[in-house]
Amino acid sequence: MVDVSSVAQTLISGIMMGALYSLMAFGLQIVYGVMRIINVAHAVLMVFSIYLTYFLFETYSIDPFLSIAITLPFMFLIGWGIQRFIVNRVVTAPMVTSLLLMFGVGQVIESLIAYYWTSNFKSVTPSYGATSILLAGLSFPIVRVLGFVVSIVLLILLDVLIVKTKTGKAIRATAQDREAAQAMGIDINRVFLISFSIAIATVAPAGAVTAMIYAFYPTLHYMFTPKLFCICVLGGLGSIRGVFAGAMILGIVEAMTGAFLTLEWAPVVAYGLLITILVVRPRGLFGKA
Amino acid sequence: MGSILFSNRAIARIHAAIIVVIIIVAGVAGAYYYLITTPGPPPPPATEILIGTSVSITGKYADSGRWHIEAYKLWEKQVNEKGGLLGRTVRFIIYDDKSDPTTAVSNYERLITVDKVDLLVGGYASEIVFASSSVAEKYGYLFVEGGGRSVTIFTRGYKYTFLTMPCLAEDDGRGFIEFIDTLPAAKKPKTFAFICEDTLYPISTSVGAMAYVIGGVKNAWTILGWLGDVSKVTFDSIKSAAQRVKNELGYESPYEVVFFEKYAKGTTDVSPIISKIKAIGADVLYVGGYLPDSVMAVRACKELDYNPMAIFATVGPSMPDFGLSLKDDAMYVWCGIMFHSETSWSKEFVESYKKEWGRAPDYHAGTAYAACQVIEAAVRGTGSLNNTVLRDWVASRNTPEKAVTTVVGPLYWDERGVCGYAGMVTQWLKIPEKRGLADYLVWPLSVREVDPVWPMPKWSERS
Repeated sequence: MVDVSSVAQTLISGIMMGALYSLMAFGLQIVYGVMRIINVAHAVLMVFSIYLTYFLFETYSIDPFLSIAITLPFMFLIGWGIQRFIVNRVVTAPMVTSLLLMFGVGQVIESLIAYYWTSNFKSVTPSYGATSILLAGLSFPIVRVLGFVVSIVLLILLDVLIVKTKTGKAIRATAQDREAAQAMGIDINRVFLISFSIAIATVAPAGAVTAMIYAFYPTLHYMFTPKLFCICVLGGLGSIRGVFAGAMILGIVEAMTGAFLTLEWAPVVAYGLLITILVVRPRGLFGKA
Repeated sequence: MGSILFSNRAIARIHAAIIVVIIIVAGVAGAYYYLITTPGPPPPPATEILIGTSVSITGKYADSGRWHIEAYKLWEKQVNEKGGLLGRTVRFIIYDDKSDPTTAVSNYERLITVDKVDLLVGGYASEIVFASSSVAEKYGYLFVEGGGRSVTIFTRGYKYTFLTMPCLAEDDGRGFIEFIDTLPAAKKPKTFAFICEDTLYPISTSVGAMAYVIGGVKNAWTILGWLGDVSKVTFDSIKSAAQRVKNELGYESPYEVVFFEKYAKGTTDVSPIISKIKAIGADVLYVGGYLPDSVMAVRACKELDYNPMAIFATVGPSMPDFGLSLKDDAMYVWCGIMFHSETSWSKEFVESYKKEWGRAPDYHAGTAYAACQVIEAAVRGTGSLNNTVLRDWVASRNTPEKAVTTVVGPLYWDERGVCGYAGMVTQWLKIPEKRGLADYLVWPLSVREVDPVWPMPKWSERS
């Protein structure tokens, strides 16, 4: 039997996990929404940002959350470079070309991580790592709670950027109709460059939080990539709010499956839900027809 | 007088020809007889003992293979520095099996039939040892190996295969249970929870440990026989087995398995399982898995403020990365191990290994080196290179008194070729005057470095 407090605790775990998933998936959604590119290297870049966090923590004792101030612009530049010199050349090519290209980019980055930091397990353990706040008999792990806060902040910032700013309007216009946007005088290459750079920058907070939760290694991304694609499809391809909703659904469904069935069933239930959504509402929960 | 057909002269010629043929045949036969019956010059005396092995130099097991090669090369060097074996130098022939069992089989066929090696040792990974041990069995070669401990290798009735890993996966928790048995009644745990990743090794070690919990040391392998295929074992089948132990074997275990759950490979959060276990209030948590699993589980226990008497995890806590990952949160976690650098058996080996290869050996290197020590002991013990004689000698090491001392401990074997248990148990502790935050040997008593801490302090009470 599962008691009420256990269910409440599981719900909290699911929400916290969902927040982490959303942090990881925002960028993936932006790149697909604007450029129609399936960035299979996205989670690898997230792993790279984990190692950057590790480097700053171990070398300069910079707190992982504070290090986001350094890793975020750095990842923005990495994204800028990848888009400017690699992706830009295939942005109009068939989707499979960019998919294969990003697969190659991901493999190179993974190998470089393994070469520089080795394949051994690493971890970032600040003094508050794995500590929790106890409220009404329920545990709120500090790192995960802060990750949740960062996720909300990032969601709001991205929302404001896309809805309120001129750049956001250009991004939306490009996402809706590339040719029409170009005809209206929007420099879509600039839009692609900004979108891709922002997308890669969003892995920085994801990396900081993940570094404190997991023992990591260069191939950690394989654990997350399928889930991130699942989230994007669940929420509706191209929708930032949809990513947050999709991530929450996946996190909560996985946790509840663990509580009421077993975690062995979590992938079956989660991906079963994905199949159902695709059949019943192919555009996802928040996607536009 | 001549015949009707031939003249006298012709007959004389035929006689002469026959005599010549007889003389030639007799000459050739005589020469042949001389050659085969007269001893030739003696063959050059053998100056080397060839030892063949197939190891993964490339492929997915290459990392583990490297430990094996380094251990073999170190042993080869050390033995030759001591004058070799039976007055002959020792030389390894090592082939790359590319982490592929089929290639390993071909390599051993070649080592035996083409290279005509005198002795063999095994490579790494259960699937490879499973395949290659068949070749050794077919040709009657002693096959001592420190790389495969799947129980399936040792349930085929093979006579020539012997393991130098101190225990099978199913035995990982045995030392821990033995330790718990020694606790005073007031401190004994009563309930055990088991979680494991849904893959072969984590399941094997968890099911094995559950068998020890419900049946004790005496009955564990009987229970494992009842349970059969470990991958199909469920919580219900464990409960049924516990009942059967009581009914059929008359054994009343002081412990109870109250929770067993597997989680899918790639699971990113075990908090939901730990929440359930916390609600049940199990006294001991057993985590079957690898390093990421143990780190994830310990962190979840702390985050959810779950305070069992002990957390036991496999594999992860045997690695320094466990302490680096968890820092002080690693403290009080238990682990069953096969090799440790702080035993009297291993210290000299660890130093020479570091000197030779610039890094401390891990358990792969230890068990591989131990395989060489066993064949060395057998050759020295028998003075022979006859593999049947050697096999019989190793098989006769079947009691602790007759154990072969190796860097992984004193080894002796049962009729399956599995080591009599010599595994050890560690607990992570922070002792500044010793090795700081590290895994300390606590069981068995013969290797104990420090007294273990039982039960583990609550998370909220730690400084």
